[in-house]
Amino acid sequence: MTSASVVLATLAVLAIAGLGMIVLSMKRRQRLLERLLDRTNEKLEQLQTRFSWFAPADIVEHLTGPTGSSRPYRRQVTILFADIRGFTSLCDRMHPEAIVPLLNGYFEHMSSAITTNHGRVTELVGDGILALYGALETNPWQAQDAVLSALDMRESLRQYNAQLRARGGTELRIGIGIHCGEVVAGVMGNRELSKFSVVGDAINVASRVEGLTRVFEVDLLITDPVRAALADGFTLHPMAPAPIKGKQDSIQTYAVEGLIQEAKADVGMRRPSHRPGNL
Amino acid sequence: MTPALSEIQWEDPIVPIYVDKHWEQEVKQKTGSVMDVMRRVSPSPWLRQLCLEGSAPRMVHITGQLAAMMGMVTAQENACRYCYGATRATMRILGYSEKRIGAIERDVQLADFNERERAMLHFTRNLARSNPRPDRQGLEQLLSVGYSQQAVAEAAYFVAFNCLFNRVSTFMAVPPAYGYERFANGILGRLFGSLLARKLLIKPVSAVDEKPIFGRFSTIARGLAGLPAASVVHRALEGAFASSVLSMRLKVLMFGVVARSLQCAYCESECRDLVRRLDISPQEFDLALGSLRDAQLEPHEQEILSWTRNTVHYQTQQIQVSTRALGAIIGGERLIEAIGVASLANAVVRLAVIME
Repeated sequence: MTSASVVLATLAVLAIAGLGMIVLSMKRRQRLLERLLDRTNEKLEQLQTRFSWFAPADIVEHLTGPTGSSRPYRRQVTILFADIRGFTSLCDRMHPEAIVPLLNGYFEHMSSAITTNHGRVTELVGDGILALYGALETNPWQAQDAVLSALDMRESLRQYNAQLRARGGTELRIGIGIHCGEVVAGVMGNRELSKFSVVGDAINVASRVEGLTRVFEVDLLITDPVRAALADGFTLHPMAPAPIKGKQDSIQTYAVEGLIQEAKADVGMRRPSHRPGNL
Repeated sequence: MTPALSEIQWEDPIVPIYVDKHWEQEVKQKTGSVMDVMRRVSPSPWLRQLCLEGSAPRMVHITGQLAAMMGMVTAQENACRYCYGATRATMRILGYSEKRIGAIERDVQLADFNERERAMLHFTRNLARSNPRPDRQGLEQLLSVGYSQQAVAEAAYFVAFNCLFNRVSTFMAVPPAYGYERFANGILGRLFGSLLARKLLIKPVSAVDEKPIFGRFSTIARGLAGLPAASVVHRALEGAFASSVLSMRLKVLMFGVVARSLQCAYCESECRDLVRRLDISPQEFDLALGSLRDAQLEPHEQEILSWTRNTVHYQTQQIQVSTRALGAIIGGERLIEAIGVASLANAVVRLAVIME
């Protein structure tokens, strides 16, 4: 074997070894990238799941899709607004450490009554609750669902108050206003803070109607459009037309006493019995 | 958000196993084994027949590989632990890697799927979810990538009736097929999977020359003309409406509730035609659909009508809890029938997308 061929053979071996090392390093790099991709996918999936607690699934999919944005949409919804009576003065009287568990217990009871009846709690502002019906999926029974929720909330609060009473705590009283109409839903805010939310006149009206519960000294009021969309089976009392802020004309509302007996029997399976009352 | 397999909460079985040796023999003869769900549906003649046909669907246009993907996506969208686990396992046996299955599940990185497959998976997800139900545009997207009108109709049938099977399994809380899942994901599956794959893959059949179809919702069945699916849909509808376990009034109202929920004008008008024949006035029908109550229904049927509304969009565990509560009130045989009719209504109203 000549020295030239030895050199060539050595070079060939070195080249093969070098290539092998390059291939090995590329493979290692590929494996690393694949692992990274899997981890990223897993994180994205977790993020999407967590995100879906805060916004409808289709909104999340749009936001996490290639465009990274979602188009707002108009939808006919029913709005339920609930507020604790005299909560500010209650806060002044109570120890801060007692306020949070009281409020959390209240939210837990109310949220359960809302979700059981196909509603979705959209906002918790202070002691106020904003719930929507028909915002995530078309719901032909949204008015009925909202009123049934309110009746369940009444019953739930009765039970919660019994617990509070037994612990020597302060009992709560609430006002609920229900209205329906078209709203714009979408992700609103800026880079610092964005959230899925709804805006529209109907939201303001629902909030004002809740305010009227103090004027009429009842716990649950619905507006005329809700009454029109509501099936028979509820005992309603018309209230005197009342002015509300932002509206030229007075608004007609109805106090909901409860379900009439026959209807109560019909829907007995999906909900507890409701006693009309004023909490 | 579509859930991962491990995220689905699943209750203990709601409907028990019914022993019917004659039926089990028939199932074994036709499919080679008796799946758990076949025993649970056995008291309902039309439903068990439909489930049997569904276990080996005869398709003209949808290939076996595509059907496997569509079946898994539908089960995932419906959060059916039993079907999702089983279809996922079948995909492993068919040779799909975990990575590829994961991509379909997450609906991401579908770049290595062709345009037709991507369009079909998108349509499958949307129809199974039906929030809202796809419209004419959804169908046109499939036509634009080269699917024929008949292929689109067959795809809609396949997804809609998988939604039915998902619902039946979910509402009955059929125990997941852990053994099959373990086999598919284990070494045995890798060794012998290819032998089984040929058996599991849906084989294409030729178009059929069906006799004209008449009867309830027959326009939908006629939309599937030339496909084996047409007679499956027709037989299921005729069988469900002929059964005497639930009243005709209740069944029509159940279809009406699902149609209204999914905003299907065609199905609601079909229901109006049916109630006219039952001497129910349009006002009565509207009142019943508007309030989910009907004074003429027996109390147990009233419970079924209220429950039907929850079968359109649901959280798995919640619907299983409410189905168990319903069963405690109405009894086993009626529960199976109610599950069958509600699931069929959900399938037919989704399938009515082909009328768009």
